[in-house]
Amino acid sequence: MMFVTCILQMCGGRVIVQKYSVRNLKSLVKSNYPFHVMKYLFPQIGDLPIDNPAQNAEGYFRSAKVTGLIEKQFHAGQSAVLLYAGGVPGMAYLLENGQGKSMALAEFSAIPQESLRNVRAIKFPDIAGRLALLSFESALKLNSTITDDAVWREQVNQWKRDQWTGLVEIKSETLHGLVLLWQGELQESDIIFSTPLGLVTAFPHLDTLRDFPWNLLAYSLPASDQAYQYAVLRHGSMHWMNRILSRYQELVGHKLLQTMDRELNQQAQPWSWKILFNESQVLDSHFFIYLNEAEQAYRALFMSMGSQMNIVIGNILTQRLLNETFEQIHPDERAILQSLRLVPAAFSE
Amino acid sequence: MNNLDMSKLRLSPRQILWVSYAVAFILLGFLAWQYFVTLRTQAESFWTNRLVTIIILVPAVSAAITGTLLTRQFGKGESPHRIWLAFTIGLWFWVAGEIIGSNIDFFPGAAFTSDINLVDLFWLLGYFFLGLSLYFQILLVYGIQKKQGVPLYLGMVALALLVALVLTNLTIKAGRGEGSSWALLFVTILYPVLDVMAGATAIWLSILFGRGQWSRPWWGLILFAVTDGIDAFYRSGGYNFIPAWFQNTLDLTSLLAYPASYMVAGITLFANYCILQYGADSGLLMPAKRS
Repeated sequence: MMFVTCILQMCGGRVIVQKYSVRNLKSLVKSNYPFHVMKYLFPQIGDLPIDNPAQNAEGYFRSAKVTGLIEKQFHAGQSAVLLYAGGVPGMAYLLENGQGKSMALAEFSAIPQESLRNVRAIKFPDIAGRLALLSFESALKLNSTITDDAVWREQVNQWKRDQWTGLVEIKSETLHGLVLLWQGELQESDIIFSTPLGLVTAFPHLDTLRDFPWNLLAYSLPASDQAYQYAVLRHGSMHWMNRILSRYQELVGHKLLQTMDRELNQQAQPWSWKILFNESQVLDSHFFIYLNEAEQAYRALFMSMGSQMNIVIGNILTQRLLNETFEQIHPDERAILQSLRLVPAAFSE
Repeated sequence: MNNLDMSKLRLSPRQILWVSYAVAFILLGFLAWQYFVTLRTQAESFWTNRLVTIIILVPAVSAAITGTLLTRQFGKGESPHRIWLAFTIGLWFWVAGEIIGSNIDFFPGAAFTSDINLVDLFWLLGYFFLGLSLYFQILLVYGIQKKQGVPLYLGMVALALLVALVLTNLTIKAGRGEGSSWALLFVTILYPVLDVMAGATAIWLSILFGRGQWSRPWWGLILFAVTDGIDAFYRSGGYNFIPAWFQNTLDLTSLLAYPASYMVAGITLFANYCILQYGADSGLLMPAKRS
C-alpha cells in the first residue's frame, strides 16, 4: 500500500504528522479539513498548451527537457507538486499551509484523478526551479504586508543589517516573485517574478509598480536541508570561481582568461549545464536538483581551471592563487566546499 | 573569436618550437666543436669569430622580436603588459649592446673613456629594464599595490650601486684589479652584482611558477647570470686557483650559456606568444580534462 505523509494539525505549535494511504488521502481531500494558505506559484504565467496535463505533462517535460512543475490541486485546496529539472523529475511535495512536505514520486503519480480539482503544468527557467525548490523546503518565518516603497526599503535595510539569509516570496495582484537573500543582499542571480508580461529574472522596477500592498512571506532556510546546502554550494562555488578568474586575469592578462573561459564553456556544453563563463564572471543559471550533481559539475569546472592554470603559471602559483582566493570567500561557503572536498589542494597538481 | 586561424600556418606552434630547439642545439653543438678545435690548434680565425658573433646575435634579435610580439598581445592597462614591455626593452638594449660591441670599429664615438663605452651603457640600461620586469612580476605575484612600484625599485638599484661601490673599494684596498681604472673595476664588479640580484630573483620566480609556461623566459636570465658569474670569477683572479681542465670547463660553459640564454628567452617568449595568439589551438595548453 502506498503512503503519503501529511501534516494534519498544528496544535499549540506542535506539528502532528501522520501517514495516510493513498485511499485514505482520497477521502481526506474530499472532507472539509481546513487546508488554507495555498501556495500557488507564478499564477501569471499560462499553463502548458497540452491536453490532459495530468497524463501528458510528464511526457512533455521529459521530451522537451525543460524545467517546470506539475501541480495537482485537490478539491479541498491542498496541492501536490512535482518539480522537473531539465526534463528530469526531481522532488515532489505535498503543500499545505504554505509549507511543503516531501513525498515520493510514485505517490505523486498515484494521486487519484477524481480527488483533483485541477492539474496545472507550467514551465519556467532553471532559476525559478531552484527557488521553487527552496520555497518548498523552507519554513515560514514572517508573513507581513508591504504597503509602499518606503516600507519595502526599510524591510530590505533590516535584512541587510541582520545579514539575513533566506527566501522571500512576494505576492500582489499582478506579481508573484521569489527572491533569495544572501548575507542580507538580494541576489541578482536568484530572482524570479511572474508578471502579466511573463517571467522576468530581475527585480521589477519599483517606480513603475503601483500594485501595493504586497503580501510578503519570508522563509528561513534549514541548514541541514539539501536545497539550502545546494544554494550555499552554488554561491560558494560562484564566488570562488569569480575570484580565481579575476586573479588569474591579473597575472596573465585578458587573452589567456578568454582562453580559459572558452575551455570552461566547452566543458559545460556537452552536459547542458547552464553555466556561462564570460571574462572573470560566472553566471550559473542551472538547476541541479540534487546536491551531488551540482558538486560533480563544480568539481569538473574547478579541475579544468586548475589544470590550465598549472600549465600556464605552474603548480606552486596555482596552489597559492587557489588558497588566497579560497580564504576570501564567506566562512559558510568555505565550510560547505570543504565538506565536499572542493578545496584548493584538490585542483592543483 | 579573437584567436587567429591556425589552418593558415604551415607548421603548428609546437612544431615550430621543436624546430627552434633543434636549430639551437645544432648551433650550440657547432660552438662547442669550434671551442675544442680552437683549444687544440690554438688558432682563431677572423671568420670563425664572425660566425660565433652571428650565432649570438641572431637569437638575441629573435628574442627581442618575439618579446615585442608578446608585449603587443596585452592591452596597455593590463598588469602583464608592463612586465613584458620592460623585459622587451631590456632585451633590445642588450641587442644594441651586442651589435655595437661586435662592430665597435664602426662606432668611433662609442668610447666614453678608454675603458667604458656605449656598450656598457646599453648593457646597464638592459639590466635596469630586465630587473624592472622581474620586479613588476614579483609585485604582481604577491599582489602588492602599484603605489610602491618604481620608487622602491630605484631604491634597490641604488643599493646595487652602493654594494658595487663598496666591493670596488675593497678590491682596490686588497691590491687586486691592478692596471684597471676605477671606472672599469666598478663596472666589472657591478655586472656580477646585478647578475646575482637578477639571477636570484629569476630563480625565485622560476621556483614560484614551477614548470609553468609563463615564467620560462626568466630561465634566460638565470643562464646570463651563470655566464657573467664565470666571467666575474675569471676577472677577479679566480682562475689562478683552479686547474686547467676546470678552467676549460668553465670557459665552455660560459661560451654555451651565453647564446643559450638568448635562445631560451626567445623560444619561451615565442611559446607564450603562441599561447596568447592561438589559445588552446596552439597545442601548448593541454585541453581541459573532461569528466
